[in-house]
Amino acid sequence: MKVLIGIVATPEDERLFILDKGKPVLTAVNGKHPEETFGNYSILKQHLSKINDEPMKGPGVFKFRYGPVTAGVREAGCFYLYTYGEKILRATIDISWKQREIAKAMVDKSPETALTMAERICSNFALSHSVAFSRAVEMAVDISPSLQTKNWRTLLIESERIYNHLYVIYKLASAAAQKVLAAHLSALFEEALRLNERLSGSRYLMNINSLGKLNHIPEISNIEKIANKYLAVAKQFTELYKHSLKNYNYLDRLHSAGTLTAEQAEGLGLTGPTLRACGVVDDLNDTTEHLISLPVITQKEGDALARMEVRAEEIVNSCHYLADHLRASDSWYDATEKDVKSHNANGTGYAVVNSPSGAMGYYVEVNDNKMQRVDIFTPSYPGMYAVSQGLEDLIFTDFPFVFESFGVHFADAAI
Amino acid sequence: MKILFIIALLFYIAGAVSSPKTQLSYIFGFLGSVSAFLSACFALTRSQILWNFPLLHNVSLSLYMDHLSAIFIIIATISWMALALYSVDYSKLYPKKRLPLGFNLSLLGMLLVLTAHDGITLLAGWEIMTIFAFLMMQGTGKYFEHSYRFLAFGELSTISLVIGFAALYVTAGSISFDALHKGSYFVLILISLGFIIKMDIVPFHAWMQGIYGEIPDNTAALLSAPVTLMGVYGLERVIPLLPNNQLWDIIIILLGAFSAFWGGLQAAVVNKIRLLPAYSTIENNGMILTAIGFYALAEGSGILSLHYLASFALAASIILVISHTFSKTLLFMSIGHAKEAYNVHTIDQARGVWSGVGRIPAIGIVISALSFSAFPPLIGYAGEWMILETLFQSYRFPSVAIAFSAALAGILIALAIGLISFAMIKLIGYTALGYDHGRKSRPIARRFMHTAEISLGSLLVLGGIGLPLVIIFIGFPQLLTGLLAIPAPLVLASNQPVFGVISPTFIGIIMLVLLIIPVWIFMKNKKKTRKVESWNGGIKLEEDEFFTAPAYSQILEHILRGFYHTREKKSKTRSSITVEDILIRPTVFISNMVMKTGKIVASTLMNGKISAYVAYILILFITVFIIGMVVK
Repeated sequence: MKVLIGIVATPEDERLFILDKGKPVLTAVNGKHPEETFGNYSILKQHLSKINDEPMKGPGVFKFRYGPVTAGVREAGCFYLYTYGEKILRATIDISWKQREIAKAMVDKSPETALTMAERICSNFALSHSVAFSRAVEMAVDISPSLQTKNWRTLLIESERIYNHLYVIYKLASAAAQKVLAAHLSALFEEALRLNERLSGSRYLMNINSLGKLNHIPEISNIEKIANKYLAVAKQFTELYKHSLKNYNYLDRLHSAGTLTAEQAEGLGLTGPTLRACGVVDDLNDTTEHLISLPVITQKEGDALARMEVRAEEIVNSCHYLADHLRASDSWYDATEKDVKSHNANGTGYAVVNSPSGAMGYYVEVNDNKMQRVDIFTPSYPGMYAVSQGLEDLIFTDFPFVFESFGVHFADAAI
Repeated sequence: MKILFIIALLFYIAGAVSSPKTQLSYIFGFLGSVSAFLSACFALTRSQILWNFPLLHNVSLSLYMDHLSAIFIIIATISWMALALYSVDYSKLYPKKRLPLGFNLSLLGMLLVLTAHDGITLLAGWEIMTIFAFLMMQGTGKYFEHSYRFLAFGELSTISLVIGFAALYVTAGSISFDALHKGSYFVLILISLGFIIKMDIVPFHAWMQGIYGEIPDNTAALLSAPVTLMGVYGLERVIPLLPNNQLWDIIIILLGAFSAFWGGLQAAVVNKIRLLPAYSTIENNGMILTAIGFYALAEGSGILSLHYLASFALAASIILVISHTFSKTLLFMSIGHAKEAYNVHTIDQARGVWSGVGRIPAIGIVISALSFSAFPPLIGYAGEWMILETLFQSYRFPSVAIAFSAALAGILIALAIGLISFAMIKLIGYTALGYDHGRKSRPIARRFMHTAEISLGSLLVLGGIGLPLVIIFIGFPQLLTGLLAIPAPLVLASNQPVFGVISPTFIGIIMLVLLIIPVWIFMKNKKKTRKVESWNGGIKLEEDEFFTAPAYSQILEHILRGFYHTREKKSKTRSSITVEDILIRPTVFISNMVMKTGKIVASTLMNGKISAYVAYILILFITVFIIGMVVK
């Protein structure tokens, strides 16, 4: 399966950043017509900050603005919902309020400084950004991290997935006024953040990753306790999840909300839980070159419920995965860990990480140990298109279910 | 009394004659209404035959003013006076002489209806009223194909009355109202149907769409309030006199309740500023019809214990009549004032009357709309409480069928009241008190308009607070009592022993003490306040970001799409929702058929060919000859 993650364009040429069977590839366009192969080519090419910005007119139609600084929109982003009262005729999403030009700001900075900036693009995906950037730079300057570093990065990405998925499901339960479920999920979310802290020293997994290595290795003595905690989270969550699936009041709100077909999802270049909820088996798990790959969870319906189900099963899988591999982590010890060195001061690199909401790609050019160019491709940007499309023809009540179910963030979409 | 009545007629004729001088003509109309009002005041205590002319054996043309006529003349003339005053200023916008001519003669026709004591005089007044109201509809100088539908329904009503009175003559040998008790059920149905059609009861409302948006404002007010009032008067006049038929009473109750529901349903979604009060008329007249039907049912049952309930139902119908006539006249005048000042046609376009046009028309809209929304202590509150209270007591009837029908009517009317409140809030929220978007109105003469608006607004408030006086005025002092700390006669009781009570007077006093006085003290002592724009996400709202009036109703259009026949059209850049009053379909179908037939006849027989024309004459001659032979 080939997915177009981004376009690396210069005035002279244009290269396609593709994920091909789980491996990132850069391909020159060379006069071909990529728009015929990749439905999302024009989206990525134009890279508009106002998504789906075509006004809708008609008697009684008006533009309902939600944001950029409004209760309910937790980031600086703005929705323009064209409506004649209740039905959403079109949803235009303006991500420009969060535009920070971080990729440009990284230029001429050292890779270490740029890594810190990458980690702060979107705190929910801090580790994914950090690892994707690190991998790209490591490729550019020819650094080979140890197995221990690679394995820990993989595990920490799963920790990030667990707390992100818990957060999304918590938001869905809150939107559906499932107070008890939401309170339990909120407690589990807090527990996941505490486990992050015990593993990495940071609730949002910041400052643990570095170029070619980890800043510190989690203490082996606590590993068993942490592994047990993850199993407890899986158990408690499974119980809650099964219980929630019996609540039709909850399910009815998610069912048929923001439905996307597999063709639509692929056309938008979606990856991660959103694509898998449409029944498409993607290769994102293959971006991990080590440890045993996780099973790919899919659903067929493509609606908010299906996306929730995918995330729910992934939480349980990731918890067990973490528990199993944390227990085996003492065998990864590598004496060469501290001797990681770069072999080149110049180079080009690119990498893709399986972030909680889909493929996150980085393309970097390093020159004389300075960042020459950085291109960042996040799952939230096409995700915003999916939100816009999913909201069309629904009513206002459906808004939170659709938006939350995609697990996207303005900070991640607007770099 | 007689002299005042004759003076009133003379003033109306003078008004018609002086129609080229429009303002003078309306002043004559006003003076005529004052005279008619005064004559009715005298008739409250003493009934009098005004005129009697023997036409044939057993057939006399007579004018008579009794207590019922007097009540209705007083109600109608208050509306006419306000409309005449309003029209003095309004005539500067529409100076065509046919408008005051139609206005004066239409009032004359209505006065004849209200005093007629026989079928022929009634029909004469009825036709004068209908034809000159039709003439007024042409007052803007535009041609309206739809206005002929009004005429068609008007004539349908006349035909029904003509056949009804002819049948009365056949059975009773007279067309005097005194002979109505000898009439058959056939007479009952036809005559009451004639009046029901005039009340715009569903499905006889089908002429309204396409007309109310185009006709002059004073004409719209006249058609909606005083003209429909004639239908109500007719029913109130003949129903107690004609023989009672329970089935017909039940039909009337259910037809009225359904009409109220349908009127409320349509009013909730219309966007044309004058169509909303027009549908509200259907709703109100539906409630009045139900009250009259309930009265007939209770009184005709012969059960003594239901006599109080019958009186209460009849009083309810008259209170609703007063509320509707005053509120609707005020609403049309205030809306018309705003509409003309802005020169717009929809609720959305006429936003912000308070700041954009003036406070008096805005208050006029608010008071009348609140009255229709049954807001205490306004008189509309009393009327709507009374009709619901009447229907609540359907269990008092021994027949399950009657109790069930009345309960069903109660459900429909309760829904209607909710829907009409929903509609009226739209008028208050958008038109009266909404944001004016910086729009400024054009300067129009408004001194007389303001006088008319203030007078009717005050009457609506005083009529509610002074409800006991109104109840005594309409002749039902037995419905008043005292309860606990509230002294007699401030409490209106729906039955004895007490079933349900209200006291708008007491509510008014409480509101005055608990609300107005503290607000007044607060306003007087208020400190310097700082006003800021409301927070809208951090960005100023653009013009296309304001919540529209159609959006307010869209949820109803969606949920009740079966009733509204909601259809959505959507393209890539354009989207729209259409709703339809499906009960006007039969009328549209008949109208289209008539037009098609007319075209075919015109093209085949009246196409300028002599041979075709001769054939047409011959066919007609032979047909008439054969019919004549058969009848003979």
